[in-house]
Amino acid sequence: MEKVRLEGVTKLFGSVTVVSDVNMQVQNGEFRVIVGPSGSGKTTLLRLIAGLEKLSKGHIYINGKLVDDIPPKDRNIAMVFQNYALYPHLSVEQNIGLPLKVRKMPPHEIDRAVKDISELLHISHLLKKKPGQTSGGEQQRVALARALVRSPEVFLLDEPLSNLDAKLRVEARGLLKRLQKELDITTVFVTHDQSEALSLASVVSVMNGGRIIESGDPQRIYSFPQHLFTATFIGSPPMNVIEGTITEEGGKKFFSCESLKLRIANIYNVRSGQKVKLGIRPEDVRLEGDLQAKVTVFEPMGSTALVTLNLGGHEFVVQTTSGINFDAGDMVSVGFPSHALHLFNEEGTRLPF
Amino acid sequence: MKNRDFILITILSLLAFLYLFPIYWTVITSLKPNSQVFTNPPMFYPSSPTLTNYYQSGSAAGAVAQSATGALPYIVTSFVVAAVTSFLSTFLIGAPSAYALVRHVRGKLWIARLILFTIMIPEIVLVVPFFNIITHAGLLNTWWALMLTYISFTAPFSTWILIGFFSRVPKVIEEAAEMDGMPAFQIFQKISLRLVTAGLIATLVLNFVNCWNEFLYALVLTLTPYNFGFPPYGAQTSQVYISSFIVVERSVAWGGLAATGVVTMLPVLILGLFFERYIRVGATLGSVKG
Repeated sequence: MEKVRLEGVTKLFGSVTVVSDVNMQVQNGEFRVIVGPSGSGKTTLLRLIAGLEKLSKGHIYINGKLVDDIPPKDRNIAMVFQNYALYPHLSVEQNIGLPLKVRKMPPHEIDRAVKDISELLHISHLLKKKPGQTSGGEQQRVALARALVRSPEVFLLDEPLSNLDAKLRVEARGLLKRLQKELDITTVFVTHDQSEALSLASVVSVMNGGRIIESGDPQRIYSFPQHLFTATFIGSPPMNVIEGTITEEGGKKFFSCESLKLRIANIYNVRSGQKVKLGIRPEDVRLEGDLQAKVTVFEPMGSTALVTLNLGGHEFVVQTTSGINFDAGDMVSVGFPSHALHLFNEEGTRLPF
Repeated sequence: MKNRDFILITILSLLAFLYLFPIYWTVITSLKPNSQVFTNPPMFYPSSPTLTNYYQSGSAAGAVAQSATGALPYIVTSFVVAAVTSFLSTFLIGAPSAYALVRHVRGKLWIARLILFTIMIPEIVLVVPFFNIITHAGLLNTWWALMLTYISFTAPFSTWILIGFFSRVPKVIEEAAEMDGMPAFQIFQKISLRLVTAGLIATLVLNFVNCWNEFLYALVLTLTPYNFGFPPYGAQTSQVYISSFIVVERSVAWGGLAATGVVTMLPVLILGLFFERYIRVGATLGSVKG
């Protein structure tokens, strides 16, 4: 069943289009992550769903009901903000209980609900403290508790992990994923961190320039990006991209640029002379083959290492797990397995097989 | 470094002396018998301190008032007028208008500037119009005369200061409250207002002190001291009472004047010492961000 539906959602600030004609359906129980660089309009999109911003064009439905003119408080949506936005003058207990108190729930029921959600989030020992007396990670869990205590229809999160340090962030990510499953709550999560998107989402929407570039399950987005933007934005280090032309020789198709000629699978629907962009993920480049490249930078990363190569004037990053150390200036042989190549046309759209 | 410290300390000491000496002089004068007030060379501490100026009754040397004892009804007036005025203009007018301006009005900067402009008009310019209005309203010589007049000065001042405080409340906290289901007025009342507590206290205290110290309007708009009867009548403040020690072409009861001055100063001093932290914050924070 679909929980949230956006139809041609557009938002202008003055004459600047921040969100442009977004269509999106979020299914019941789905964990949707909207990922994009800063300024891509993802937070504005989330605020539009919340009702904190007025739509310029388009419609938003929640549970099949048109909510364009319904204020946030009547949408039964909860939101966690980037800096948590806890009420500094209220205790943790009052913070969490406030959404219920506002809804005139009897005090003993509020107490029980606050107790339950606090146990779930392991913050029972903080209830009497003020938010200012707790750590960043704890504040984050208080914010989650406040949002979840009233079992909202939709749960919105605006970069909730970006203010945590690296270790806490991984922890909180696990907690979020577990909670979302346990409570089976429809979630829309906004982030600029592609690894967060991949690890959390059941569906990822990649956003850039106010538009949804593409949506899909994380594995598909990573393995078969439909757009060059997705290809280079998702994955770290990003996909290597070179521009070139398609050539044909003896019934075989090649990708060629000044210094490089690569065999590509015949199944690609391309014609000779077509200008294309070729992408390959750092971990897909083989450190064996018939091409010779020069190592310019070697960065050991623990279990893997990044090798930056110069191949006929093009810089490539290769991710290797081989454990071999290189020095700048070393010559290595490299290979580009044809099954790992991604071809995009000049506009950045993936070329079909 | 040391040199700079020395210069700074010297300047600050001079300033402190400049501000504190009149207070010291008032206090010692209030403890001197009238004969020792104008000795030459001046006496910087009373040789035979006396409290006569504080409790002696009756009228001597032609002055209307003689000691601080008679100040009570005037102090009651000062207190009621200052308290009611500062409370109303801080909470009933200042806070809601400042909040509305910060959160809900376009072109707030211009409105804020207009408010600042009204604060800068010298009070004396408006004495005559106010006297006319109050007379026609039949409020001359009542607490209302002073309260209405003072509110018209303290309300814009409160609004101006509180604009600065409200614009420092993160909007996202209010949005969180909105998401949590709070109606707009409750967000103002239960969230935003609580987050500017320091500003409210600062505004309240500054308003109280300004009303307490006001002399010109109190003098013009009131004729007789407050009486405790029913219905109560009269509205002279303690500042006006102090002036009654001075009678032109007759002698002045300097001791009684100083004693009343000390008594009148005390509430303000206590307020100032108690809320010093908030007043300092209020004085430095109260401004509109462009």
